[in-house]
Amino acid sequence: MSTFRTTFKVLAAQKGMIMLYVVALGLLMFGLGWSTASTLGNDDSSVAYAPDRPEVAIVNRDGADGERLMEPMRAFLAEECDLVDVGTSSEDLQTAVASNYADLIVIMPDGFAQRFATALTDGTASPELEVVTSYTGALGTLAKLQVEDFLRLARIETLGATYGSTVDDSDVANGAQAVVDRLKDNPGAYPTAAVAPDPSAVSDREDNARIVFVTMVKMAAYPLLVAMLICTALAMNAFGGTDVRRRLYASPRRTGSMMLQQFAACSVFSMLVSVLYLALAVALPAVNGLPLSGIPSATLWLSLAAMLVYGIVGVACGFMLSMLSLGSAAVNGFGNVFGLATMFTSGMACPLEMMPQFMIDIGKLMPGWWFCEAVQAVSGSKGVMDVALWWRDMGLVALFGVAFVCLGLVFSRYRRVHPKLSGAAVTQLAEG
Amino acid sequence: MWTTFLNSLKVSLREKSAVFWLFCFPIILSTMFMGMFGNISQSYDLLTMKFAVVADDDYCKADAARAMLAAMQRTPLETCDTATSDDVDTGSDGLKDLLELTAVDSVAEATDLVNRDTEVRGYLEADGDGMLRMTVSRNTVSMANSPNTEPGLSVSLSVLDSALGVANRQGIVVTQLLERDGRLVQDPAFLASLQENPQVTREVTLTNFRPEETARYYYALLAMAALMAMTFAVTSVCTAQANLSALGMRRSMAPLAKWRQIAGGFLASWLCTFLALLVALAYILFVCKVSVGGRYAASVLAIAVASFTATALGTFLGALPKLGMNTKVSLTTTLSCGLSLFSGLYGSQAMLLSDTIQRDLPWLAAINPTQQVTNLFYDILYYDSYAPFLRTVGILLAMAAIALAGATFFLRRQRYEHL
Amino acid sequence: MATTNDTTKAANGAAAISVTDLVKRYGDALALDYLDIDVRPGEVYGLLGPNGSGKTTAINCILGLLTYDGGQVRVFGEEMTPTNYALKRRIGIVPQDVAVFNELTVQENIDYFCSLYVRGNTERKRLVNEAIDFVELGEFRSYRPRRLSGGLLRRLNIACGIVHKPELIFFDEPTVAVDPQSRNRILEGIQELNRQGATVLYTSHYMEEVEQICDRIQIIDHGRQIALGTAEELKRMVDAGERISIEAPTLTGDEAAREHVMQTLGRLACVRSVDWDDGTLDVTCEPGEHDLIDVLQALRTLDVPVGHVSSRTPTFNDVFLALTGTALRDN
Repeated sequence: MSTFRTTFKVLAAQKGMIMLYVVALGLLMFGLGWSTASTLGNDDSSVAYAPDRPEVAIVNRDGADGERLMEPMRAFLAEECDLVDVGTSSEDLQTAVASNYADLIVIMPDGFAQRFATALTDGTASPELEVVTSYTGALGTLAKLQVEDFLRLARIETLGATYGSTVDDSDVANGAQAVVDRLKDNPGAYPTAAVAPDPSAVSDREDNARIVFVTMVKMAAYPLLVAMLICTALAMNAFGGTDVRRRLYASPRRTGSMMLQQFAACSVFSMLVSVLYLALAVALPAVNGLPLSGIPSATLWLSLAAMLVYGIVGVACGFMLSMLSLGSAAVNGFGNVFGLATMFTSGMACPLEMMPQFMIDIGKLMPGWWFCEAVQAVSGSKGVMDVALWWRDMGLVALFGVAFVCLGLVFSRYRRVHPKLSGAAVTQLAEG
Repeated sequence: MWTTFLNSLKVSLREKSAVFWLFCFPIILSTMFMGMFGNISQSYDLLTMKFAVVADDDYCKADAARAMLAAMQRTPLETCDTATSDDVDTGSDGLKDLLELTAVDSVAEATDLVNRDTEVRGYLEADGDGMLRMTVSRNTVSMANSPNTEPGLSVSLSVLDSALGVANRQGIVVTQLLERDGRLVQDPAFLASLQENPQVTREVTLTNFRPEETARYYYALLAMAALMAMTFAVTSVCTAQANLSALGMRRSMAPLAKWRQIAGGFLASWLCTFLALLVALAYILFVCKVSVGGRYAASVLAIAVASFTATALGTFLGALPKLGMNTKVSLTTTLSCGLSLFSGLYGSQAMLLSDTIQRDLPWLAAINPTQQVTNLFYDILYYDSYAPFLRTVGILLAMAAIALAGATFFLRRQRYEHL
Repeated sequence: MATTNDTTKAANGAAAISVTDLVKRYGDALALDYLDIDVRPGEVYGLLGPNGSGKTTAINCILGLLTYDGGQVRVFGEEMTPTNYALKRRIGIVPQDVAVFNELTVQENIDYFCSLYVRGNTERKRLVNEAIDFVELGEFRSYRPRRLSGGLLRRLNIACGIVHKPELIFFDEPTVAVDPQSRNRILEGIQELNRQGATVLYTSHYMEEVEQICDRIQIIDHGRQIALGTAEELKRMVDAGERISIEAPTLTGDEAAREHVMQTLGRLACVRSVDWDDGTLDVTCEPGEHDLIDVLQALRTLDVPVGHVSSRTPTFNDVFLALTGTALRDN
């Protein structure tokens, strides 16, 4: 047991690594999830659905004429969109586009109002507003629909009001305003989507708590894997230095027993970190005012079990690395690359729908994928809890751990047969 | 100074871990991004949603509403014993596959269906005036609010909601107009004009180059790599300081002015960082096919400025007293990874955070070197004029100047209280 | 015994190092307490002291790396400042820790440090080759430090410090963790450098080294000079004679007889103390010329059969311990 205790002391001595990977990286990932949690926490309408509201910027280059048309357009769009001001200069607009400040930018070119009126009079082709739709999604398209709808209605209203007469830009402005006035108090004009009653369903806030919890558990997987991998590798490296190893081999203790104790100590450490992260995953919805009763207890305990196993897989990976006697920089490098690869391919960082099939196939070769699948299986989504699937997925996760351990044992044997000098390859400063 | 420059160059380029982090790591991550973002365009597609429709008398009387719904289905639902016309222009071909409808007889039946079958998102119904209305299931609400599952669901629902509004509004305006002025009903010209749907918007590109969602991640990666490269400068300074190492002590006793030694190391670090970023940029441009709008010269200048600033920051970090070299190298990693969160490297949520900071807390973005390096490439790609680019260059050079001033303050000491 | 070269040991002219009343404090702790050091040109000057006595602090003050709170430091008659490059050109240091770049080969390391002192490429190449030959690292030119053994590393460390042929060289424990062959070679090298005209300030914990190569030795403790002189002078300062060990197996089982013998020996004028150690009588004598004969004569008179007899004169280690005490210095 002395090796077990000593390993713990070595782990505890790596304060820098613990602060960086366990604390800082963990907080970073939970911080990323904070916006999700606070959004869902602010959602206090458990029976109302609110559609997405695109952000629309309107830029008038048509002077006073354009402004008379713009004003009712703004009032119309404000019903289902959020109007934003992104500036009017060319640079401002380019910034808005590049940084996605608005889902849609509408620019009324010079002379538009007059040309619109002329087109209504003589049936020629209608002038066009210049629009820039955001590259990030269909919200821009949705906003464009609204803009086109407004102009269509303004056209109809103007034609109806002027019936057979010449149309000028003030008629168009009046027609546009009439559209707004006509629709203002009509509930059918801007229908509100309702939510079907479901007595058997949990409240939205309870479900939000579940969603936040599951999301945080998945996000914790990245720091858990990286932290355990790196901390374990560095702790076991302390026992693996050439001179220390010689001393240990010369002792009357079985090498396997010492290795097992090191592994056990690191595993206990990973369990502590898993519990810590689980506590944060539970705390986050609670801090945002979501009821913890929304987290099914089976989801909670099975997620904890999944994190415990996943953490130990990280330990196994660290064990494998330590048998290669890699330096601190190499361990950090491998840990970060492997961790990021796992994170990105498991769908934690970006939706899986973004990824082509071959990337998903690569993701399935990583333990993170199966961990997320397992957590999702028992997340209680759609009221479903597939424990059998959880067992299958966690079995696969555990197999990764077994594979890492086996590889580590192979490397260990190789190291015993091929010892090398322990000198550093890079300048190690003898610091005064 | 020349031999110190050459020596520092050799030391830096022979350090395997630095070579890995600064040359290989950006390439590995870029390759990962390249794979990850392969299907990104599909993630913004609208989903085909299963909905129920209450095919009661009100619905069957609402011809315009039925026509609108038919236009949003690949195979329009045949109900109400009449064929529905699919000649309604919903304004966008993309809405053709938005719906897959199932007819039910009543609201109760519809409610039961959506609660029972989670694939059915909700139901549609019409009122006596022919106005359409949407009701969604509780499960759909929670799915729509869930950030990473079915990302297209929320916007698809919003588009449907909006399309219903379009149909309703058209109905309201036309009906009230016709009711107000009876002449309009008999005017074929007016009635014909109601069917017309002239093009009233035109998509334009304001930026020098069409924005790409994924390009931002690559730029953020370049920024992280730049800051990681502070390690070169940190190492260079630590090996020149008597209070930090025996090697520094030996070098301090040499008859070469300290500033020359530091400058030699600085130039070597700058060159190494520049080379590392150049390799990463070349990979991103030519293998990952991320664009800089043809402005290659500006990109190289951007790399030069980014590497200069990173080297200056690394020099400052290396000059800090009372910290060992390993601690400083760890700080380099921590800063580059941590600040990269705020420049959007870690996925869509992080990118959202970066946008929010840039818009609402611009001063915070201004002091974040990773954000500024990322902006260098935005500026090249998106703006016609080089003014924003030069502004960002100015910010980075100012950062470098402050860092060098700080480093000078710490390095100026030639004797120490203790070693 | 140090080798002297009378033509190079000038007793006149400026001292190579002149330190007067040097005071250095670390907070409330007094590291150097009005210390004087006077190193003559051309000599090998040993600076000894227990751990924490102030040796390294003194050296760093002399080199201008540390601030000090009082006193004066002169090197070759000039004040040593960080920007006195002309003076720095005349100095070489071999620090206790191996201060080389692990990423560079042996040749590259020596070449780089030489380049800091010497500008011309041709001259530099010549000096580098001479330094490599001097420390006998010729076949290891292209090796990186991690492939070198401890002894070779130390020789590389030395080469980097002396490549530019300095007039004054500081050696700070250059033979730590080095095998006897390498140590011997290093010491011979230092003596050769001295023969070539270099002044050497040498610190070490190995007394036999100091005794072997140093012309004069200064022992300091608690930042203050304890003793200064040649090895012989220092030995004479410690009032101790030879130590005689005599095997007396017949006394092992007979305590009474043993006590009688020990008391009798103790009464001899030349004997200072007598101890018994597992079959051996350990007799410490006063300084004298006939101690061994007197002791053996006394044992014959007592009819005590003797076995193996050995005698040794006080070593420099004994001198050091006598002057500084045997308590551990662990700071």
